[in-house]
Amino acid sequence: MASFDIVDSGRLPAASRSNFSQTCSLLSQYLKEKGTFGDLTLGLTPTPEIKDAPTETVNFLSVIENSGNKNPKSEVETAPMTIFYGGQVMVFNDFPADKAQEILALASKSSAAVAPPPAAESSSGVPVFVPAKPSLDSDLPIARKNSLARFLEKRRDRVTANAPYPAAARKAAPAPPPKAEEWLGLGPQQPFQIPRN
Amino acid sequence: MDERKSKRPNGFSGRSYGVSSSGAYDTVWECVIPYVQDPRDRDAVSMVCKRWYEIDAITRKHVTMALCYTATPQRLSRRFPHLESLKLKGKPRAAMFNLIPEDWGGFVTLWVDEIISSFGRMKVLHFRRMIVKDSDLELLAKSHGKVLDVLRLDKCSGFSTDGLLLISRFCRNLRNLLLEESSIIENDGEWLNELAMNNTVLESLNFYMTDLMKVRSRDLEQIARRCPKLTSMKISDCDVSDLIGFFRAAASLEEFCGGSFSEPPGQVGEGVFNEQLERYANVVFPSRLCRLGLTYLGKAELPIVYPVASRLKKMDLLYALLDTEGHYQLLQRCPNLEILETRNVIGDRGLEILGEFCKKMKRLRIERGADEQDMEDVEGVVSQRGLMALAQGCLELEYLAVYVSDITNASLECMGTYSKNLCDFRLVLLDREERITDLPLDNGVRSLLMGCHKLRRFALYLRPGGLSDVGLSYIGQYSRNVRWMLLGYVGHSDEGLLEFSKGCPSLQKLEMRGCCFSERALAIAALQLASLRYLWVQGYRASANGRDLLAMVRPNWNIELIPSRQVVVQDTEGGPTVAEHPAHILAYWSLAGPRTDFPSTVRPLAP
Repeated sequence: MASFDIVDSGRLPAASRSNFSQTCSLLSQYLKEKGTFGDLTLGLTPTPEIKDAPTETVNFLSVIENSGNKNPKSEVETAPMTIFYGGQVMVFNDFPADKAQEILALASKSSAAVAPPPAAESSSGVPVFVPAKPSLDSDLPIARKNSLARFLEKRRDRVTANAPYPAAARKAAPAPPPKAEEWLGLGPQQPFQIPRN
Repeated sequence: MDERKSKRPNGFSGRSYGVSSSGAYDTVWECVIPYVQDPRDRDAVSMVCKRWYEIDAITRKHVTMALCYTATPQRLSRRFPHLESLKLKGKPRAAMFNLIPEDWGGFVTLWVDEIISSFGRMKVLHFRRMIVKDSDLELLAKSHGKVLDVLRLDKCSGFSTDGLLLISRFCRNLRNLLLEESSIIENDGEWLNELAMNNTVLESLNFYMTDLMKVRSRDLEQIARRCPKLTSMKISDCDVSDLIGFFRAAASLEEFCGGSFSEPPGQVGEGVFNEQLERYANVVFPSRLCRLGLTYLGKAELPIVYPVASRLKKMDLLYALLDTEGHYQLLQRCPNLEILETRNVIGDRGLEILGEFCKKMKRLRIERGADEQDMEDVEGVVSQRGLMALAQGCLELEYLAVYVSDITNASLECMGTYSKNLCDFRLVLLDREERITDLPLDNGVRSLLMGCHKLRRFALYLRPGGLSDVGLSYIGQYSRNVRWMLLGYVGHSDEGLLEFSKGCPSLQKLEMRGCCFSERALAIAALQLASLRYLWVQGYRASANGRDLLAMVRPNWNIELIPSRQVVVQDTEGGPTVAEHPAHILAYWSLAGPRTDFPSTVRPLAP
């Protein structure tokens, strides 16, 4: 099954996430411009619904529903692909060789390219907002006071920064519930993710 | 009395001491009216007759404007030329929850201009949720600096430490400077040094919950040395071990908030406790200290608070790191506590301790803590159990704001039975628990409203099914004196809102969120609520272009929309993500006409 994991080195710089998102955004844009990478999509997209979905917004919910489905195995030559980026390690299983070439080519060019602001437009399909947890039938989450939100954020940073071992950090600040976040518009991100420091 | 006075002839301005002349009455009233200070009484006075209106106008010293767009600065100075104190509020309350665009409005510039040109005696300025620029501060400092006694920039934004530097340099009589929760661009820490060099009369300095990091503890100590009347100091993060000299010098200090503690090293255990305590062992709080809030206060540092615990009247634990057990240990040592602010990690057990040991409690605020279960103590939830213990134990309670995880009608009824002094009650039911013991809360809410006669402010934020239309009609019926109300996820249909709006005769300000009401019903309710002068709604059934809201169009009633928009916010890991913000309605009485400084996110609604 085509999938990827994010493994954490435990030393995420504060800004790494947004850089990471920018790269995702860039790759996503590239995919859109180039069509869908041909059989790359076929090989990696878990559901046929995604192929039918409009390119600008992807119905991630259907991805969740079907994320357990078995995907048709790709016939092309594949190998695991590992990307180290901004303190995170992503492992793609069964990555098509020719697409790996294209991504490498893109990555070598991308330093010159200017990525759009990562989360400014949802139409890029990259950052899709999902409430951290379902808030019943309400679509308005209970808001938190600014001062308290800032404090809780600082406190989380303190706890993770101070933890003697990464394992303790993980325990103190557990990974948030899995979010149906798009990565390259290809499939759901693996739930295993470590909060930033 | 009003009736008798209204029969007197109007318009006498000459002073006469003849017994029967109305001029004598004028003189008497000129002497008496200044003693009437409640703004509502003042309003009543001003409506008795033309002469009283004039006496009120020239003797009024303070005005609060709940929204700065309800009158122009010129109009204010024409009517009350001798004001000495002014409080202005800008953005809607929702801005404190990050729901309002940053550039929404609430600029102080026109007001500052008017203060400089027309209010020569203005000593006290309080701007809340407004946009203040460095140029505004510069003008105030240079043209009005000698007069200014008090400057409160309360949850404001738009200025930097450069503007503050000028305030420090020119406002040498400043007794009170407040910057709490303002977003300040920090270029350097010179403003504080300048304040320390120039000011000897400071009584209160507050930059609590700001991100000012370049503050030097020696400047704080210098202020404490040079200002013998310094009674209150609330600061940003600054290690408490660097404040030992400050505490020693601040002999008059009654209130301290802020500071920080370094994280205890490694695993918390007996040895670490000692090591941590050693680091802070030399901290001795001034002898008059009775209001305290230490940021990042953990269990390891609790022993430094114990020596003063018994005399504490106010404690702020909102930004402490105490778990339920820590609350338990601390609160039972605080028999004189009157005001407590903390998070729901206090737990039912903490509330039981309050009920048992803190009999003088007047104001209690329990905010919502972290959502991640592991960050907080597992006991750290508040429910009906804690509320009942609190109500039965703390009979002096005047203010209660609480986020609960579970609730019953019986607990609200209990508040109605015991909390006879309650004038401000705010309850939010958190959405983490799927199942709530006892909903809807119709009868409990009715009992609470019927029992707590003094209620002036009331907030109820539930979830779908939390309060039926009947319950909503009870609120209308039984909240006779309530002036401010926040309702979230209450009611079932438009009928509930319409029934509600037949009551609430004193309601001036209504905020609603996440209710199912249509624009049409909202418009009718706004017309029906006799005292209403401010309405804010987010989450409602919208019509195309807001046309159904046109039903509430009337002279001097401004209607503004913030159409739904996408906002970049931080997700749980601090990364950017896009959130959908549904549309808001804001409507308010104004003598100034529609405002003209709309940003593109705000759309005025005109017929």
